[in-house]
Amino acid sequence: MEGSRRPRAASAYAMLLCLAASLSHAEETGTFSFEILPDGTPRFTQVLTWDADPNVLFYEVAVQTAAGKDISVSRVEAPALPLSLGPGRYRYRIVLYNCLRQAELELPWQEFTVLKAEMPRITKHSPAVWFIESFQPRLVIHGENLIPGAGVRLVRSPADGKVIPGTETGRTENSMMTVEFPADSVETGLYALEVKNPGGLFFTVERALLIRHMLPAPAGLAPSPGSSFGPRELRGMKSIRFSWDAVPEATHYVFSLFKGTDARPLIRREYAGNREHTLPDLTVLDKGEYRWTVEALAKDGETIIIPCAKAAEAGFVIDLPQLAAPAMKIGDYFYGR
Amino acid sequence: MKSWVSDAALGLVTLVLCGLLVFQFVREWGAGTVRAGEQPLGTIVFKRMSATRRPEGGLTWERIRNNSPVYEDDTLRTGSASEASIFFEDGSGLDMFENSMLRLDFVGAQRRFEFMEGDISVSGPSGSRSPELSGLQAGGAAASGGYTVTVGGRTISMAEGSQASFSRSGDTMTVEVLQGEIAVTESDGSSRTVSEAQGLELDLKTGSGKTVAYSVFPLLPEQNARLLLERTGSANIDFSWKLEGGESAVFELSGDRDFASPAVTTPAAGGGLRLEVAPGTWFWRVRAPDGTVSPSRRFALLAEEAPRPILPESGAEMRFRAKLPAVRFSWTEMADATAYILEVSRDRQFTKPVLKNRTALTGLTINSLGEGDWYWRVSAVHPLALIEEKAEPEIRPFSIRRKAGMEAPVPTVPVADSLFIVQEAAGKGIAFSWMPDPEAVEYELAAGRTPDMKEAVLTRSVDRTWFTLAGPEAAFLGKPGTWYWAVRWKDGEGNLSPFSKPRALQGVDGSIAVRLTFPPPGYTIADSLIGGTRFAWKSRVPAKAVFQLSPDKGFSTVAWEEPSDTETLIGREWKTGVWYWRIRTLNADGSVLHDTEPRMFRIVDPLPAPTLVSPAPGGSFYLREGDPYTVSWAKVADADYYQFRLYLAQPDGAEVLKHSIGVATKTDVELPFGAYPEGAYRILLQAFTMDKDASTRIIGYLGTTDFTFERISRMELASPADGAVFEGLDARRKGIELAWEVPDPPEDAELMVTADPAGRRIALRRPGFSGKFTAQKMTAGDYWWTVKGSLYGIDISALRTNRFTVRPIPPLPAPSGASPAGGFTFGPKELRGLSALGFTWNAVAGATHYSFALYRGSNREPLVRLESLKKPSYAFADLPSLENGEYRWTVKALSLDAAGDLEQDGLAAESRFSINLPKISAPTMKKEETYYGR
Repeated sequence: MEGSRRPRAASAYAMLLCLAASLSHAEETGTFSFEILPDGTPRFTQVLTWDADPNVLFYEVAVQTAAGKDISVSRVEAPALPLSLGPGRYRYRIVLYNCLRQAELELPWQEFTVLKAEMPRITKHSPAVWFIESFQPRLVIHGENLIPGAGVRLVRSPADGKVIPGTETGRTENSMMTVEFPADSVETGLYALEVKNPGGLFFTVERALLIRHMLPAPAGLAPSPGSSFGPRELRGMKSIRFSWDAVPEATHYVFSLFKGTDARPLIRREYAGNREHTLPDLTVLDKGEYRWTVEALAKDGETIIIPCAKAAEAGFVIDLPQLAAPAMKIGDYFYGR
Repeated sequence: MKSWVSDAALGLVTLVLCGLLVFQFVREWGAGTVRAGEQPLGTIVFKRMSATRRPEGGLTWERIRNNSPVYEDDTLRTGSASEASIFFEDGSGLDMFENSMLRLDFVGAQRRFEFMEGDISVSGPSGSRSPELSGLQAGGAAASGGYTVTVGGRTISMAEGSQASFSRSGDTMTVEVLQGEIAVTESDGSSRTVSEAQGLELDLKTGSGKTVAYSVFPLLPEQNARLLLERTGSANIDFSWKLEGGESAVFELSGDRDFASPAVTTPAAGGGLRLEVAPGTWFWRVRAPDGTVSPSRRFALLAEEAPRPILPESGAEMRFRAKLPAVRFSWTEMADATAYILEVSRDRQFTKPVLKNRTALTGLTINSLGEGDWYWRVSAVHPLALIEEKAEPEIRPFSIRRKAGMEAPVPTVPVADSLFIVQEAAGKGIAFSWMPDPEAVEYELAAGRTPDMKEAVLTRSVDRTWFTLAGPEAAFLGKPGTWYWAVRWKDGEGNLSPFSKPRALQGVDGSIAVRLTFPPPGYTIADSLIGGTRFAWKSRVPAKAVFQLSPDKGFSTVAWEEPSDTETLIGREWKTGVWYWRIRTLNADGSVLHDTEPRMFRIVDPLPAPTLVSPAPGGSFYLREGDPYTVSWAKVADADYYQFRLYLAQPDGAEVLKHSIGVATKTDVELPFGAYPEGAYRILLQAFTMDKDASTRIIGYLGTTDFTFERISRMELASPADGAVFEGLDARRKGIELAWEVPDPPEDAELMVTADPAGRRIALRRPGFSGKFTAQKMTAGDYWWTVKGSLYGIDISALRTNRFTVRPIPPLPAPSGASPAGGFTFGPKELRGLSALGFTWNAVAGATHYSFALYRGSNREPLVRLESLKKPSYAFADLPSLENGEYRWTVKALSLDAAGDLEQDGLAAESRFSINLPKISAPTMKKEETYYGR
C-alpha cells in the first residue's frame, strides 16, 4: 500500500502549503503550523501568543534556550511571535513598551517545549471492503510512527464532507493499531484512510476502504414461482429451462435445485455470466414439489469479491396422475411377412 | 710517605729514560752515517729538498746531505719536488728526480743498481767508446766500466759514455737512450740493443717490450741538464735536435711537464734554435711537420753569483809578536755549491798555491800562515754547467808582520778630555774600551786624579777589551773635576805592557751646567720680530753647546739645531706655532753630555684684521634721520687697542675722512650717522698689542670694510579718522576698512586694534605690509588702532593711535504661531503613530536660523537645545526621554553670517504641553505550552 504523501514532482510541492495545522490539541499545546517543502520535509512554525494591551506600542520578546542561551530578540506590534524552532526546551520573556517607546513592563520568563513531530506511515490495513449487510466497523492498521494520540479517520472520496473518525482500541507500539468506527455513521462509498500524528503530520491512503452493499438476488425467474408441470405440460417437453435476469456487477451465478424441503440440492451449478440452466433429463424428476435458487456473485478468479446479499428462489410442482393398468387381450394373432 | 717517595723516584727515572730516548731519536734523525772501514761508492754532489738513504738491513731512512757518501747496497729515495745527484768514484753520474727509488748493488767491478720507481738519468763513465760497444754481453757482467740496471727480471747494460733516462710508474717503464747504446737482456736470455734516439717501452707485468725509434730527437740541452748563469737576468740557450726527413719543425718550451700551456711555441728550422730563457725549470720538445712529437727534455737554469771574498779585506795587515796569528777567511754563500776551494798563495798569479783547501762551509780559519805578503781567492764546486764564460774569482792581498816588544794598548773610549755629569756617573756608568792585542790574556784598567797612575783610585782587571764602570765602583766619580784613566795588557807569561797614554776625564756638576736666560717660558713673539729675538743662556761647562728647537716637548723631532760658542743665538724665520728650545752640551767625542729642560715659546702671526660687526660688511645700513649709530667690531684676541677711521666716498672717487680715532680701547664707537649724508662709506680698522714681559709687540693686519648708509621714514595712519562711528550691523557685515601709508616697505609690519587706549586688550592683530585692512565682525564697542613695523631692524611704527566706535546690533522679534499650541496634551492616541514630536512656528523676517530648547516642567536645564535650525520647525525624536508630565519649549530667531557666526540675535517665544499615558497592565500568561517542530 502506497501513501499519497510520497513526494512527487518538486514543482508540485514548491508552493504547496500543507494543512495550516492550527491544532488545538491537549490543554497545553500551543499554536503551530508547518509546511511541506519541495524536498518533502516539513518546516514547522511555532507561534507564541499572549493577551494584547491597547496602551502598548510594541512588545519586545526575547527567546532563549532553557539553559539561557540567546536565540532571538524581536519586536512585534501584535501579541504573537512566529518562531521556527527545533525540538527542545525554551523560554521567552516579554517586555511591554508604551507609546513613548519606553520599556514599561517586563514579564517573567515563560518556558515552553517543542516536541519532535513524527511523520506517520501506513504500510498495510485490513479489511479493504465493508458490506453494509455484514461488517465489523474496525480496521487494523500496520505502519510506522503511529504515535499514541494519532487520529485516524475515513474520508469519503470524492470529498463530500463525509468523514468517519475512528477510535483507537488497541496498538502494538508504534507499528500497529486497531481502530473502531461508529457503525451508525457508516455509509457506502469509497474512503481514504488518514492517520494524523500529534504535531499535525499525517499520512493518507487513498481508496483504502470500500463500503457497499452485496449483490441483490436476480429477478425475472422462469419458470416463475408456483409453476406446475402436469402431463399435458410435460407430454411435449423433453427438458426444463430455468432462466433469470442479469444482476449488475455480477460475474457469476449459482443455480441450485432442491426437492421439497431438502437442504441438499439435487443440482448445483455455477455459471460465469450465463443466466440460464437447462435440465435435460426429466427422469431425475419425480412427482412432487421442487424449488430452485439462483445467487449472483462478483468474482475475481476464484475469489468472491462481492457476495450476493440474498438468493432468488422459485418453486414448481410435478403433478402427474397415477396411471391405471389397461385390459390386455389374450391370444390375438397378427400377420406379417 | 714511603709510597710517595718511591712514586716520585719511579717518575723521575721514567722522565730521564724518556729524555734519553728522545735525545737519541733526535740525534739519529739528523745524523748522517759514515761507515768506518767501508769504501764509499760515490758522493752526493747535489741535493734538493728531501733525499734519504737506507743501508742494507736498516729499518730507518736517514737524510743525506751534499757530500754525503753512498755505499754498496744503499737504497736511495727522493721525495716530492726533490732531486739528488750522485757522483761516483769512476766519474760516472746518476741523477734521481722526484719520488724515485733505487738500490745500489755494486759488487766488485760490477756497477749494478736496481731501479724501483720514479725518474732517473744514468750516464756511463766517460772514456773512450768501447769498440765492443755494439756487442755488449748479456747480463752486463762484461760491461766493464759500464752500468747494469736491473728492473724486474731484465738487465739493462750501459757502456761507457752512454747515457739513458729511466722512468718507471707501476708496471710501466720507459727507457730512452740519450747517448750511446744500451743492451737489454730478458729473463729468458734473449737480448736486444737500443741505440741513441731510440726508446724502450716495457710492461713489467706481462714482460712484453718494444723498441721505439724517434724520428725527431732532442739533442741539447741534454735531459736533466743543470745550467748555471753567474749573474741575474735571463740567458741565451742553444737548443738543437735531430729531425729525419725535414728541416722545419715547431719548438715548444713549457714550465710544466705536460706542456699544458707552453711558454714558447715557435717554428724553427735547421735543427736548432737560440732562445732567451729566464731562470727556472723548463721542459722542451720538438714537433715534426707530420705531427710526430719528440720525447720531452727537462733542464734547469739557475742564476747564482759565484762566491765573493769578505775577510780578510784587501790589503789587511796582521801583526804578531811571538805567535802566528789565526787568519779568518770568509766569503759569500752560493746556494747550489757543493763545496768551496780556498787558495792562498805568495804570488798574485797563484802559480804555486801554498794552501788549497776544499770545504763545504763559507769560512775557514788558518793559523799557519807566516810573516810576509799573501794573496787569497775562493771558487765554488758545483755540478752545474756554466752557460756563459766562467767569471774570474776576486784575488785579495794581505800581509802578516812581526812586532818587536809589548806595546801599550790603544784606548778608544772615552776620548781625551771627555766630560761627564757627576750626578749620572754611578747610575748610567761610564764605558771604557780599547783595541785588543792578540797576545793579551788580561787587561788592567786604572783611573786617578793624576796622569801617572801612581795614585790610582781604581785598578780593575778585565778579560775583555771593554768595561763599564758603574754602581758603587764608580762612586769616586761623584766629585766634579779632572780625572785620568789608562789601560795595559798582560800576556800569557804574566808580563805587563806599558800603560796606554792617560786620558783626561772632566766631571761636571749637571745642576749648574747650563741655565737658560731669555726668552722666559711661554714667551710670545710676533712673526715679524722673531728674526730679531735673541735666545740667551749661561754655561759653566767647557763643552760645545748646541741650540736645539723642536715642535714637541720631548724633542722627538729637532726642527733646528745650531752650535753656538757665544751663549746666544738670534732667532730664524721659523714658522708660527708653539716651539720648545733647549741647549745641548756635547762631550769631547761628540756624544751628548747634557740637555737642559726644554722651554716653550710661541711665534704668532700678526693680529687678524678686526671684523666689523655693525654695520654688516658689504651691506647697507639704515637709520632714521637724526638718529645716532654705534659702529662695532669683533674683539681681536690679545689686542690692546685699535685704530679707527671712517671715510665717505665721493662721486669722483675721492674719499673724505668723516671720523678718526687713534687709540680705541673699546670695540665700538657711537657716531652721529643720522646727520651724515647717504652714500658709500669705508671703515679702516687695525688691532695692536703692546710690548710686554711675556710678549713682543704685535701689529695687526689692516681691515677694510665697505658699506652703504640710507635713511628711512615711519609709517602713518590714513583712515578712518580718529573718533569715527560705525553702525553695528554694517560693521558686522561690511567690515571696517583701515588704511595707512607705508613710505618704505618694512621688513615686518603689524596692524594692532585694541579695545583700550593702552593697547592691552588686543582685538585684532594682522600683518601690516599692504597699507590697508578690512576688520571683519567687529563687535560693538570703542577701539584704538595703529601700525607698528621695522625696517633693517629700525622701528618705523606710526607715531599716532586713532580711535573708532562700533554701535550695538538690535535683536530679531520673537517667533509666533507656535505648534503644538499652548496646553496641548499627548495621550496614547496622539503618540501611537508618532515617531517624533513635531514643533513648528512662523518664520521671522531676517532670520537665517532658529534657536530651539525643550524643558521638562520648570527645569532650567533643557532636555534639548539646538542653536542653528534652518527651518521654523523641529522634530524631537527622543521620545523615550519623555515621561508623563508638563513641558515647555522656547524658540528664537537668529541671523548667522556665511561663516556660521551669530550676526543678529533674537527675542525668545515660549509654549507649553503635557504628556498623559495610562499605565500598561501585565497580560495573563499561559501555562507552559508545548509545540511541535522538526
